[in-house]
Amino acid sequence: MAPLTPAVMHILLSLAGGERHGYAILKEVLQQTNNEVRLGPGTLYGTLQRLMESGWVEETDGPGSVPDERRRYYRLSRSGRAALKAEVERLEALVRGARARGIIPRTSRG
Amino acid sequence: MRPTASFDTRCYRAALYLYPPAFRREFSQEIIRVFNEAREETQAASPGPGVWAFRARMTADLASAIVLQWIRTGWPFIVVISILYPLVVTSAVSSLWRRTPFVLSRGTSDADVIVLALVAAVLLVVIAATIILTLWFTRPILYRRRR
Repeated sequence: MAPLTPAVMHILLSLAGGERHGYAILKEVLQQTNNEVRLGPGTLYGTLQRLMESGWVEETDGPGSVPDERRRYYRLSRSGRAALKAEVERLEALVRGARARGIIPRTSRG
Repeated sequence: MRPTASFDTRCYRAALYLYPPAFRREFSQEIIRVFNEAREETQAASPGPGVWAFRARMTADLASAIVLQWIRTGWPFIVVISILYPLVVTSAVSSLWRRTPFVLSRGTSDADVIVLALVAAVLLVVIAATIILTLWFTRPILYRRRR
């Protein structure tokens, strides 16, 4: 599998915590990157469209019992979670390699 | 009473018409909603320079997203090919024709000139028709839903 693009990775990670609507995804990405990555609406929905086509993300009715018609909610599918897990493992192996070469300390904290 | 949309929102909504129709139909309402929420939050947090930075960010995001979405439809390639194909064929034919000497002598009658003009006109119509028909028959690509 080809490495995921940063936008895909951030969106999948934000949806790993549960279903969210578009703006909540943007806020979550901002929070998980310490305000460094600000996705725009165009990038967000273009990426979500591709993720839905590939079956990694699904649209849902929303968290409540009554569907929220004003918003569209998205959640990670099983294959999306598997793709995210594979990517995280790939990155983990990269970090281990970097640590073995002394690029980052062996026991890094924070 | 329905609240009036801000100038930013109206500009942004108008710019959404630059997206491919299928994408616009599916996501434009959501995109506008997210844009408004982000704008309101930015305005509340830092009204001055923050708003300008927000506008710059949204413009860059919109431009790149529009280009990407059009590339995904495959439409730009079809347009280029539909224009290039008749032009290449015509230029190839004309380069073959050029090998035979083509001179309008003084004795050429008006009828010959008219025939020549008609041939040129037919050629132009064929080129235009090829371009228009190719674009027309590939319209479903533009409008199809991707899901």
